[in-house]
Amino acid sequence: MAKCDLSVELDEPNRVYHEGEKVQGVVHVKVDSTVKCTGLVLSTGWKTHGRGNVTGGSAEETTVFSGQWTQGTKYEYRFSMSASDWPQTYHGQFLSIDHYVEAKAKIPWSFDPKAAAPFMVRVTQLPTWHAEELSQNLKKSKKPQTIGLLLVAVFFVPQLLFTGWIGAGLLVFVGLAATVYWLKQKFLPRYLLGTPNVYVPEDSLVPGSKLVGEFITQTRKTVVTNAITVALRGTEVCVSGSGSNRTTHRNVIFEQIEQLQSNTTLQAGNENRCPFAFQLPEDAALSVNLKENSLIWSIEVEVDIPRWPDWRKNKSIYIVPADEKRLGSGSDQSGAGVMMASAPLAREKSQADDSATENSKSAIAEGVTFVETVAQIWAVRDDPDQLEMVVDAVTELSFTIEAQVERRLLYAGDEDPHVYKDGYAVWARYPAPRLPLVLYVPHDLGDEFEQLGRGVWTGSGVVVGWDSLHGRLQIKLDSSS
Amino acid sequence: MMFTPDDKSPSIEWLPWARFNLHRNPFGELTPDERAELAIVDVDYLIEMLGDPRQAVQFIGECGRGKTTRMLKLRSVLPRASYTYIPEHPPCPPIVLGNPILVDEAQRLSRSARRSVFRSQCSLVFATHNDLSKSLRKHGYHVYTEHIGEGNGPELICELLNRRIEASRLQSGVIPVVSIEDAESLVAEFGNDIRAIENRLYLQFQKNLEGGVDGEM
Repeated sequence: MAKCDLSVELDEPNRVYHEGEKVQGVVHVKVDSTVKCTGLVLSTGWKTHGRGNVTGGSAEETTVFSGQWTQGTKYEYRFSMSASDWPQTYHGQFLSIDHYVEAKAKIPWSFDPKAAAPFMVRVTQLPTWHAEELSQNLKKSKKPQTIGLLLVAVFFVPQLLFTGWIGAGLLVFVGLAATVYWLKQKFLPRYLLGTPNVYVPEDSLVPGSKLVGEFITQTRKTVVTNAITVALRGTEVCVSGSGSNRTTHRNVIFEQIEQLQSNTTLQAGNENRCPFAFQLPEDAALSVNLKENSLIWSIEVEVDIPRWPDWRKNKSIYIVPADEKRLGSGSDQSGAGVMMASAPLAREKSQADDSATENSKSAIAEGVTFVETVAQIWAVRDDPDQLEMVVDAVTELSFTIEAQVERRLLYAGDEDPHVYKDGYAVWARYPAPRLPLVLYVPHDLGDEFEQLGRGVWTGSGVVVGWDSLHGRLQIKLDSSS
Repeated sequence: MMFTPDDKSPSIEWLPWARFNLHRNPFGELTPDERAELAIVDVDYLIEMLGDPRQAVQFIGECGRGKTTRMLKLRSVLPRASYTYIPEHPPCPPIVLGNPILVDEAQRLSRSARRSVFRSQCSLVFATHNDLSKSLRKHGYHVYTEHIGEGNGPELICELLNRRIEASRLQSGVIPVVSIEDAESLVAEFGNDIRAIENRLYLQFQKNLEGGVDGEM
């Protein structure tokens, strides 16, 4: 088998690149015998490495050569490609993020040789899409957890009761445990402290800046506390494995604890205010949330009450790139800090997105084609909120579908409501862009699909939703009968 | 383990692992494709077996012994294979028709999914904690069972750890090496649990990186 050596050489391996800047260099190729290459593909992007499941993203991809490489000849291909706009290069204990230029030679009937060179990226500005994502996360975290509890009650309580005394006993036990937890963690501390709260006027900050906040409470009774402490922490949180092998690894990269008061008496009816301030390190790592790899900053206030359950409150803060702050002002304790921090950008994107969604809806009303629908979905496939909006807009609409069949599903999953009786599901892709699809095939089209193999199928169908687990547009095909 | 920094001055000053001519900690998590690429498993005899549509292969073993790695290796060399991981909690995910059908954590298949798989008339490969041979035979399958982990001796461990280090190479030159003595002491401590060995080496590597160690660990 022919040996093909690839190497990537950067012009400036020690340069610090900023988002979107061009990374330049050369790819060297050396082959020990004449070999056909169907594509020398170069790409820029980032990857996590360390204890968490690997995640990554790409910025630019280009094919610089296809053809024949002759034995004994050395080839060189110069490149100039854009760096990603997010995340920043980071090297920690459990989590690391690096950017690479990667070269891959596609060699028929052989393993594709690869080479990569790392380069350093420092982000000066939060990408607009990321600012939106963070603000969405903040909003989501504010949703009351009672919705979850209600869902548990609605779905699990009847099931447990069906199992008789064992189920009822289990239910009582779970209920008791929840009550004890609620009493200890929520009710009892609040019973003494009244309405304790942590106020942070600005929860998106830049490295080197000052974090200020206040613990405020008005107690019902006079309370003597052992101590009131506040801690600022930066933590790497990485998840490895999945299912029963899933493990969460945490590593505190920064911790500073301040004692605000000790052996203090909080007088009943008086408003007690304990201000605090932390100086963030100049080299503080930026907050990131990359699927199963996160870097989380938070402050935790704890009130130690003698012979009584302690009160604790954790509040997330976001460390954003330094230049980001020039784009807007901070936030209030509503938790919309990141959105506020990049308000002009976020607003601009939001308006653009709103208008895109409106446009898509009106276009659909005018009779959008499947090609246009696929293009819209493809464009927003990495943005869950936008994707949901576009899919919602086209759900229940009928189209003339073109799809390249990939695989038949042996089993469509528990309780998939879209599968026809005696029918089956097929995984397919739209030819270009290659948007993944799930086609629900009725029984009478079974033979047609059987004969088609992996060919392209054309016919009519209705969009019924989005399979978020596998990232596929779900389409129920029309029965010919 | 011998950590021998490259004689040449490192060309990438900002990368902590460059000191050892590596671009990352070699014992961190890998992508499924990398796991398949770096696996040291012989699957040729299994591929031959799986030509028979009534053949079922089951890998039985504890966590961290190499069941999933074998499945990923088979998937990488059998382009028509389908691979499905069954999560701990329902619902059971869709299972794609393939030849063979690879099911990881097969003991968790729901009753209806199990029925569909057993009636598929396709060759099957299961990674499982429970022996499913009785049910498979009832559905007409010939069953080949392999207990995973028994062959994870010091030689194999040594080879696969060095392969992982090689896969993290930054550029040509010297990289750290795990000796057979290192592997023997790791096996003495962790038995055949490869995941535990990798976890230990990950932490050890980071610790030495921070401590500026450039000699023998």
